[in-house]
Amino acid sequence: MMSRPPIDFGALAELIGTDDEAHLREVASLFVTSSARMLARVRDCQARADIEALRIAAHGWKGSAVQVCAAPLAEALAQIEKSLPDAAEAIAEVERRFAALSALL
Amino acid sequence: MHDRQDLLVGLNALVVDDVAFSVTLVSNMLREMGCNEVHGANGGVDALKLMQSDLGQDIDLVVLDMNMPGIDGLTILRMIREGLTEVAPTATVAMLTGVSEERVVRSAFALSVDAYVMKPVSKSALGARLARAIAQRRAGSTSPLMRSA
Repeated sequence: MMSRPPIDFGALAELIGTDDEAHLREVASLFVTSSARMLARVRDCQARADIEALRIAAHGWKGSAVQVCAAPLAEALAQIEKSLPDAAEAIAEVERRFAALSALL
Repeated sequence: MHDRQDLLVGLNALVVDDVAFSVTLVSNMLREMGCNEVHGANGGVDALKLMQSDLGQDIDLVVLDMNMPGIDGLTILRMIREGLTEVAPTATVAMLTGVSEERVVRSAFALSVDAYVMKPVSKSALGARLARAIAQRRAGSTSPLMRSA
């Protein structure tokens, strides 16, 4: 089975309304930068065992991942929400998928 | 039809989301649609500070996320409508969120939200929804049924 790309640039182009590759890469790059902060927030919530804050952080990050057409990451973030209060495994998967996305850019 | 995106030209907007990327993405979309000043706030607390400053008086349009730590979108919406910020209670307010629970949507409309838009949204769809909301507010429509759900 062919693995999905971390970001579907075709879908992103349609959503944002541009075919400009530089612009699309800039948007994806912004998302990666923002995601690094969100990952730190998720880890912090996990360390403090603040379940509600973790749910809000994962939910918000998922919204952005959907907006940038990063489906694999969005699905992993949804899994955090589903697996609460014990989200350690789901967070590890989010970290793997975020690493794959970061490596792309 | 109220999909005239020229209605957004020259407006001052505030984009509120606890995820910085979303603020940037939506702010860029609004600028491309012709908005004048577009302010970004990373979360409800940040938004409240901005809305209670002198800058608040100049805001015509607020695009709000729902789920945010500290102060959520519904609270911000209620504070605007009740005149508890410097933003005019009659400003156009749109929710842009991934939350589709009926209870939350109903609460937003009960607080006179002008548009409830689900993420992800394309620039053209967002522009059309906002233009429709602005047109309806300018026409003085107050019926939730007339607003863009």
